[in-house]
Amino acid sequence: MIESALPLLLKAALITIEASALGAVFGSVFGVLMGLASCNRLKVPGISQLIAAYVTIIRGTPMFIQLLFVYFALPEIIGVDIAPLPAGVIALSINSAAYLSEIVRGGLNSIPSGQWEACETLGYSTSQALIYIILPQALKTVLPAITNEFSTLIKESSILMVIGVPELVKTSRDIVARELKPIEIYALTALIYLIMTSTVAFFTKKLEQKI
Amino acid sequence: MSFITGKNIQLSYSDSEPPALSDINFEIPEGRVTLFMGKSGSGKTSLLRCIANLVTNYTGDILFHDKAIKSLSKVERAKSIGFVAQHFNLFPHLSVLENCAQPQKLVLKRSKNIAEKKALELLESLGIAHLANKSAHQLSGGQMQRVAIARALCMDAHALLMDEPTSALDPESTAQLREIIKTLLKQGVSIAISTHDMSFAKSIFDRGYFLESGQIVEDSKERIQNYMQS
Repeated sequence: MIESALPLLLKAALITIEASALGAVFGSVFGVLMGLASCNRLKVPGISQLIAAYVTIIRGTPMFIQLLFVYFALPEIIGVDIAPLPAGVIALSINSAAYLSEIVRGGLNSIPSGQWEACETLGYSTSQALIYIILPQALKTVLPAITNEFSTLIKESSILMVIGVPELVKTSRDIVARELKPIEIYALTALIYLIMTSTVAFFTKKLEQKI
Repeated sequence: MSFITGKNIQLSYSDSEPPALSDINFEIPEGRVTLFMGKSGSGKTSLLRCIANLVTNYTGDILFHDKAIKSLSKVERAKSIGFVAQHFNLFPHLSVLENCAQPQKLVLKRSKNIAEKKALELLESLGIAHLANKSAHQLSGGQMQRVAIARALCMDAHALLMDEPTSALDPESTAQLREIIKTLLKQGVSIAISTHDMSFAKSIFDRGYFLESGQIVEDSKERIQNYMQS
């Protein structure tokens, strides 16, 4: 029974990885941009308040609602249907961007102002200061929190089952409904999640040691 | 010849507090050491930060060779005035050599070889070339300070501002700093120092200003020397 379920679960795991990875990439891009625009040193008046409002809304509402909104409400607003997987990726990105922006903002604010001042007196442009001095130091501080966010993202992607994305949990539930072997199938599903989150943790640890 | 001059400098951090600097006029002549002395909170660090353009919301003029420091580009400022902060502000993720070479590469667009050669020359002249490959955070206070001085001079700065340079140093490092200052003066570097350490100030005194509550209360060399003697 495991032999027949495993290929299906692995195929579903690929969809979980795809959704989480895309959510992590888009979430990181927007999260970093929002973190930069709202940190103490680079705060853009007006924009930083908008970002704060966005973060409050996303962090203060269940991801379940965010997903339902993207899949059912957003198409009504924009007039274009969104397929389940892209809708899931959008919801994961929106959600992780809010959390990542707070992580990045906190990391940037933790760098002593003297580091910015040293860059200023040495003639660095703002982008040079960020790329060569501030971000490398901030990255070291925020890496554990980012790992945590990516692991959370992998686990939370299971919520995509409610809009019909054939990811890991949906597939395991379908198999259990057919085979009636919940202990084996759910244990195997949990093991696959554990391998995925442990892999993220392993590579982040390597990166942490490298920097 | 006056290198850096300040005219009628006024600075307030908030409306509800008395001004941090009030009606300050000063000169930092070429090739000499100028001291800004006073108790904590007297305004000497604020003044040095205005000269380094780290504080810009002052009124009045600070001129470098008759050009307003505020009007210089970042690169021009870095090539004119070096700043050694009280806590040195080295880049902890870079080696000593990279701390000195990277600003030259990025700001002055020097090649890696030229930037590292210049950095090693300056580290050598300050007696710390053997630390070139160490991480900045592995150094003692005195070593960090010398790296910060080398880093500023790598940018070809003609003037060096040092904020409370002895506050993190033991007596031996303070003595070494005195020797470094004398060497730099011989090389024609103009130096401005803010300090509340009177024994250090006395040992390198040439000219200077006494500040109290954001105002210069004494600028006569004789009277400052008499005060130091007493």
